[in-house]
Amino acid sequence: MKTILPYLKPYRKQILLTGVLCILFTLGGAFLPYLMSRIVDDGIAAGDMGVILKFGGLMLLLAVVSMLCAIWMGAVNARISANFSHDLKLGIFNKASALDFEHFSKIGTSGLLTRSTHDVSTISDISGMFVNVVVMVPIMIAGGVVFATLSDRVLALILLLSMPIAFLILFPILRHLDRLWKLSDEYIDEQNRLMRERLSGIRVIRAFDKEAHEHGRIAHATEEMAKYIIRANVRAGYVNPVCMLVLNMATVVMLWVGANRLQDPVLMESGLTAGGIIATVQYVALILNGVMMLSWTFAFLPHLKVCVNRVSEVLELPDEPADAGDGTVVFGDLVLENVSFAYPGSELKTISDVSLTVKAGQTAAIIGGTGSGKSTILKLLLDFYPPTEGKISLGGVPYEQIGRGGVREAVSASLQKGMVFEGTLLDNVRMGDPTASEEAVRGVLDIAQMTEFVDSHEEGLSYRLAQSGANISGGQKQRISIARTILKPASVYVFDDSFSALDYLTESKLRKSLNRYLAGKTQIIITQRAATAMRCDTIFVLEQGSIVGSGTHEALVKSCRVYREIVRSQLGGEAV
Amino acid sequence: MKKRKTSGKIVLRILKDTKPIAGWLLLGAFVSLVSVALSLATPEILSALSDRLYDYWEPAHLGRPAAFDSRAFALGCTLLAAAYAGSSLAAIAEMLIMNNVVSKHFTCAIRIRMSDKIRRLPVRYVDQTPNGEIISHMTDDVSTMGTTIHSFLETLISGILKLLGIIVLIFLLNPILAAAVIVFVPLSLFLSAKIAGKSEKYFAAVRKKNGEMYALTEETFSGFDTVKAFHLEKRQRERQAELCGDMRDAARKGTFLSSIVQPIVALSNNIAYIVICILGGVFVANNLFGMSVGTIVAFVLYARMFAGPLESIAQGFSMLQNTIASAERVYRMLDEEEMTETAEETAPEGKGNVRFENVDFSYDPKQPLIKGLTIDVRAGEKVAIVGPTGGGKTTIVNLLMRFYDVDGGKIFVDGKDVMRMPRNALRSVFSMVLQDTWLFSGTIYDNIAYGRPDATEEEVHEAAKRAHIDRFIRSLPNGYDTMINEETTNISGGQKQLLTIARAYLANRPILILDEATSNVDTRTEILIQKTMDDLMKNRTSFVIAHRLSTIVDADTILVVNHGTIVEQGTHRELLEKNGFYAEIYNSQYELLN
Repeated sequence: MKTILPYLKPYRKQILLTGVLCILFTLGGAFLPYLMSRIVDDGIAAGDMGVILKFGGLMLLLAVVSMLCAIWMGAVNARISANFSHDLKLGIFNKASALDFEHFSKIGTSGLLTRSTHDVSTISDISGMFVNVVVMVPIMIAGGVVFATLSDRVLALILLLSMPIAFLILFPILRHLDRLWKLSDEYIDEQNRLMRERLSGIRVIRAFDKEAHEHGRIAHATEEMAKYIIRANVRAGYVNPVCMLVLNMATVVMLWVGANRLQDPVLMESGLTAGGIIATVQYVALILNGVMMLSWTFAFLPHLKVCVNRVSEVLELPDEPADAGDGTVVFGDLVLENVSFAYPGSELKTISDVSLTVKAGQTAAIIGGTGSGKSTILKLLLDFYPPTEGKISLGGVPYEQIGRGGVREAVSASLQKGMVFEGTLLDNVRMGDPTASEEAVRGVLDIAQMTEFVDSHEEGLSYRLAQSGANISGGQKQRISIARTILKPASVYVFDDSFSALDYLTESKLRKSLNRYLAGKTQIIITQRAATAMRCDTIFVLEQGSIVGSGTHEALVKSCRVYREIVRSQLGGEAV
Repeated sequence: MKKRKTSGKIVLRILKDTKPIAGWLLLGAFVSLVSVALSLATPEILSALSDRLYDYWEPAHLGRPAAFDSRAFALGCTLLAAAYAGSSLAAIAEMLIMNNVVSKHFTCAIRIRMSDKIRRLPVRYVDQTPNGEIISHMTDDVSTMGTTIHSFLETLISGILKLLGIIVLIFLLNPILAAAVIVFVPLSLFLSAKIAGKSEKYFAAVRKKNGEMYALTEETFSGFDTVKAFHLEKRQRERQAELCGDMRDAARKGTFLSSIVQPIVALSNNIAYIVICILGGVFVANNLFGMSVGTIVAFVLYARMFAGPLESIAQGFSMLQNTIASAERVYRMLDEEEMTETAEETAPEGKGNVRFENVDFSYDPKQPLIKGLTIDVRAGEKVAIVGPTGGGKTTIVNLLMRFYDVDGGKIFVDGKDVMRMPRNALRSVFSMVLQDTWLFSGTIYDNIAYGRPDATEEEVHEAAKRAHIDRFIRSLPNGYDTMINEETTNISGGQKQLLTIARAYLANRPILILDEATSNVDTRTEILIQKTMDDLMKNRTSFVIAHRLSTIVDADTILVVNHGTIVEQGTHRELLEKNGFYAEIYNSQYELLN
């Protein structure tokens, strides 16, 4: 709660204003029955037309004023809840995108996604209601009780007592509502997950003639889901009729007690009137609304708590530490000295005691199988994580001194997944260098063998890529990300399995033009393919986090068993 | 006009779909009728009691003795209590009926129908429709429909009933007063329906922006490393800020508009209330129309009752548009053209002869892909399909398995035309291992046995051993019972692929399709399973798609596919001698050497 409340702080005054408006509006509503009782008692009983018209006019004025108050309150409330939700959504997104990798991976992509979308929406939806309840319910209930007291204390007491009774009945019904909602949500997820699984595996499922089986699994989840949804809805459905019942019964009791008290001459002297009793009965409606709103809040509260806790978890994480460097691009040899690395929270070293030097202008390859630690090296090179032991330096300057921003200016990397973002092709490539001209972008796309793609679309560079590149193939994504990488004016270029979705022919053409374009720049190619590594100036062979061989292809074929095996399996015996 | 017509059709169709639950819906309507009738009776009783109260009080007030008929009053109170209790109980009964019937027999049934529909839809439909879309039809759209059916009774039936009942009753009480009150009904109904419709438009905009925001967030977090490496935080934040800003504006307007419905209805109610008090007061004071204080109380209470049904009717109409849009999407899917099945032929014998005869095919009629393709594969042969990415290699698999049907020409398996047999009969002679390893959420054991649920435990273990994955499985804490699901992280892509190889091995079918079957397996393991793959292919017809040409040099036929057509066909030796496209591909991997 501590982290969420500050988001409401800017709207303190507006919340106060809603409170005042709410009091006015409620008072207006509550005064109407009172004025009516005056019409009954003074006007009708005395047959005084003037009194009837006077109080009638007063009532009209009151009704208009209270409507205006209600509309104004609606406007202020809408503003508060829209702004609060806006601030919170933006706040958590900005926070999440400023996290460092350690904290990012602690919560995980899907965890962050739920927190910054679903949870935040729930919080702002419910808290809109919550503010209403906190402000309105006490006013409604207090107003109802106070006005009832004006007529008769005993009747007011009956009214007051009916509320705890309603809560006592509703409490056991609503207590497990949250759990049922959660369960039905889980089954919705289950149904959707099974469906997604089935749609993505449609070929395998049909090949094995398993459609009936998969349909059965989904139908089962759907039925379970319906079961819990029914249970949850039924429980929630009790709230209104139960509240109505309890308060209506209170009405009956009040009438009975009122009638009896009316027989007491002493009370009569103190001003108890028939009109007063009739008016008091009408305050029941006011309290009824308050009680129902309160019950709903009560039912939503556990859900709100879960969401708030999850969102707070993110908001409370520390920001990335301040950056040391000044962001100028550093050139020179890239040196790793006795570098070891274990992911935060893990004992196991993914990289142990790695030392390597890539001379400025050289092309180096790091080859190894899955799980050999190749991609971890890339993360260290980009300063996503600091090494646990050892030191990395560029051009003789240690990474700590260059600073995170500086390192990422100097090292341009293309990652295996070939990430593209929603936007135009031009936009996506320009991320490497926002100042680049269209010519330059066309140039790097040509090197990435994407000219054919650009020309095949009318829109050319303005071709819109869908979210996560859903409208292009994996190979095209990789090539766009390569174009972006080389457009960036850096000193070291790293390609992490960036050619894996390309066939040899395309790769060969791409590599040729790439080498021409990057001549004189340092290149590091991280790969599983021997054919990709072979041509590099130096090859480092990585196995289980350690370097088991380094040198040229010819030297390694002779000296390194692991390398020899890789080459033989991929290119056949003749290559060795 | 045309739009209105289709809307009408859709509403009719929804009604038709509620036929199986019509009996229950009628019962629900009847129960709600009881509830409405009882709740309408309460002001009547209350009014009588008020009159009595007033009668006791007035003489006493004026100093005359009044006879308090305690028994008659108690009877009235009991009657009132009974009416309240009955009305609440009926409301609860209606709620129970509606929840159970609508959720179980309407929404759940439609969802199951949709899932069932997918069984009969062509792969083409699944390929062309984003998964998220199908899922959102199945959850969100159906639940919108359900909510409407649900509130249909509550708002339209019981709301309208209530409204009519109140109007009749107040006219019976006093026509003049009733006429004065009723003027406000259409006005507030019209106003609130208009406003609700308008606010719905803003809420639709909010939902749209929310979807976009979700997409942006997902993109940013799933590409977090790229975002950091290229300093894209600022760009993404700016986009988010823009979306959030748009959303804030729409949400503010929508919320505001929907919040003024209640005050407007309340005002019109209060005006009615005041009119009742003034006119009623005048009537009573002057002894006109036989009005009593009780009648005024009854009027006031009835006028109060207007608010509820008015609001819900207005809301119901604004929801209707949305529901029709949802229902349209659901029905469009349910109406999709299904695959036709013929059973003129039985399953192939399983020798493994495959023949393509003059086959034409295209995904998009404007872009012919395969024209006049003829291939003859004899039982036991190994056919390799090679070519650049996106060239159409997988198309041949699609046709062979009848995931897609040929546009022209014929495909024969063991001499039988594949178009003349049921699809599952054809598929029963094939095993597949694909590049994207598809495993379902379930145990490792069930995944291996997927193609042959009747396999013995020994056979499953043997298949795993052959795929060199048995040792690994046994090293897991739960062994073969280890669950595979979305969160599974301790099994690598390569290991998943080995499981699919075990699955294909166990299925033991005469024709084998290997589409980049070892692409995720690391090199050293690949050497180990090469023998298994050779065993698998022995005495079987096999179709192999591979990047690494070293694995297919011994194929009986190599088909070279580029831009969707077969550009070359022959053995490795023949193709190299030809010195064409194949030779270029083959040499490209060695070119990297120089």
